[in-house]
Amino acid sequence: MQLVALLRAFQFDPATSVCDLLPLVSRSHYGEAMINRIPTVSAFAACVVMLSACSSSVTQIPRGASLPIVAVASVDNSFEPQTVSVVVGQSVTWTNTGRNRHDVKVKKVPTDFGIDQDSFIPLTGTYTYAFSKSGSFVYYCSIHGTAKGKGMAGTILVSK
Amino acid sequence: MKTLRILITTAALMGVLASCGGSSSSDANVKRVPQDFKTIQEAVDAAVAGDLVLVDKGTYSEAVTVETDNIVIRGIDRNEVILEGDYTLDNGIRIVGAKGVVVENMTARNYRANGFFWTGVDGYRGSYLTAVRNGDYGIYAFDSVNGIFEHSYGGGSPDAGFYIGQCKPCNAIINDVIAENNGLGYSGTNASGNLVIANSTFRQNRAGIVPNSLDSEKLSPQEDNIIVGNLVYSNNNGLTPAIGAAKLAMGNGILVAGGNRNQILRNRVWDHDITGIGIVPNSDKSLFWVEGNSVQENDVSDSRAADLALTALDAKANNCFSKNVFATSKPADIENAQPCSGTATAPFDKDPLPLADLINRVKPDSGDIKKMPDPGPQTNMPNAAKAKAVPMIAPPTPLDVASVTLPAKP
Repeated sequence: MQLVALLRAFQFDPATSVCDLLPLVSRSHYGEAMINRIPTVSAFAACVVMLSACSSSVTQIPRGASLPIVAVASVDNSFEPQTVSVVVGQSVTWTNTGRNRHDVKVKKVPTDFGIDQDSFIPLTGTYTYAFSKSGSFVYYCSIHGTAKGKGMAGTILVSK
Repeated sequence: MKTLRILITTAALMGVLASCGGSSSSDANVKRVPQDFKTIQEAVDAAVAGDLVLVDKGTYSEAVTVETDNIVIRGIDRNEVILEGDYTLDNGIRIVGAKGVVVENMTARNYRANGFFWTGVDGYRGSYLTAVRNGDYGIYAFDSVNGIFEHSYGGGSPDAGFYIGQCKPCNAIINDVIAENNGLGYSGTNASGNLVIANSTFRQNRAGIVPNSLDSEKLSPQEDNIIVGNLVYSNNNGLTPAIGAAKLAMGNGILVAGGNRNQILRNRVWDHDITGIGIVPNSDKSLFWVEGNSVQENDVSDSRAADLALTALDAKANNCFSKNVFATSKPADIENAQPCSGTATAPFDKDPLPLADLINRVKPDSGDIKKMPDPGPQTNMPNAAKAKAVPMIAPPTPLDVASVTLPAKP
């Protein structure tokens, strides 16, 4: 049965995006979330992260005066999108939208690139890194991936 | 019957062994720890496909990563080969992208994430494993297919003792395991297709067996599991460590949360604060309803809300109940309202629980993982010192579901 039909049956407006329903239904399986009632702003922000994560496997950032922060979601157990492109000076923010703890590490040999986040709190934790060097950098979650790029790993392509 | 299955499985494994070659403990391909290599990781790093890493008694403060295909890692004694995480290391043994790796006959305890963990693999087996007090899951396969968990124990984890997630078709069997003192005995997020959970015991967790659909992993919704011949009881344990989902599901024996076309057959289920067997929707960023689930020939008793329960959008979703032994149901007269064959003779009630009761009922906060008990000595793998090493190079032999009977109460 289609989700839209189900929403209609429960009298949700199918024209409303699923993200608009977040304060109503999102993460209700997490007990506390229902009790605490996720703030609308937070839910919207999470939704933006989710949508940006799902929109493309590669995010191209146009050159320009403003350098928007690029969002990467740490889901269970992958980075979405797996590959993103930024320019020098631009930042990437990882948000743990999964149930499990994740981190962000980069192999320090041959280049100590600087990414080093020990742990994300599931569902809320974030880590932001501003890229100051150009290059292609593989990073990984040390819990669910390896420095060889197996398992939970991603790539940041940084251009000048 | 169970013995027959084991014999068949053993015969199949020996057949595989004969065809591909395996290592016995007298082979040159055995890497002994600590006799030949000081650590398990060193032995694993030196191993090539077909090798056996044979670990002697001792406590190993290691987090082992395996990236080599088709090796077998075995402890000489399940209860005395102990990987110790000290709540600082993440995973006891994790297999990342390596095919056919088998881990046997050892214990992993006190890891921050997982005891035994396969991810991104085709072919896996965990046998005679004990996983205790691990921070996410005890024994865990993610994004992996063609696997077996058997003769194993998972206890004291806040998420699940056993977990299979994000696979379709999974082609997996969980057989003859015990899960207790976990948030969830078994959790299977988006684990679909030819996944059988059989002949096992799920007791004194917050919730027993919980296949579920979520957006936090790929391949939703969850579908097509067979849950057969299990003992599921007293899953109301508020002392366990627990993530939010485990708190939410607490008090249910078998709870299908947003899954479709699961078959729940010949399980004995008793003593639950909410439902013995419940079929309910789940909500994440998406809403996951339930369709085509079949609950038949189970014996369910002593459930405080209902032995059998269904929350579904409408009768056309074809969730059905037949030939169960039970006393209470929501909706009432559930086998006449939602029969597996014939015509419904009772009205359909789409949310009789109601669902909000499940969600909003106050549940105890997470308990202290460090207070979860050891299980005591567990059954050892037969002839661990000399048995041939057989990597998991072929899909598991299908379990004969039709031959699995309703288990007797212990």
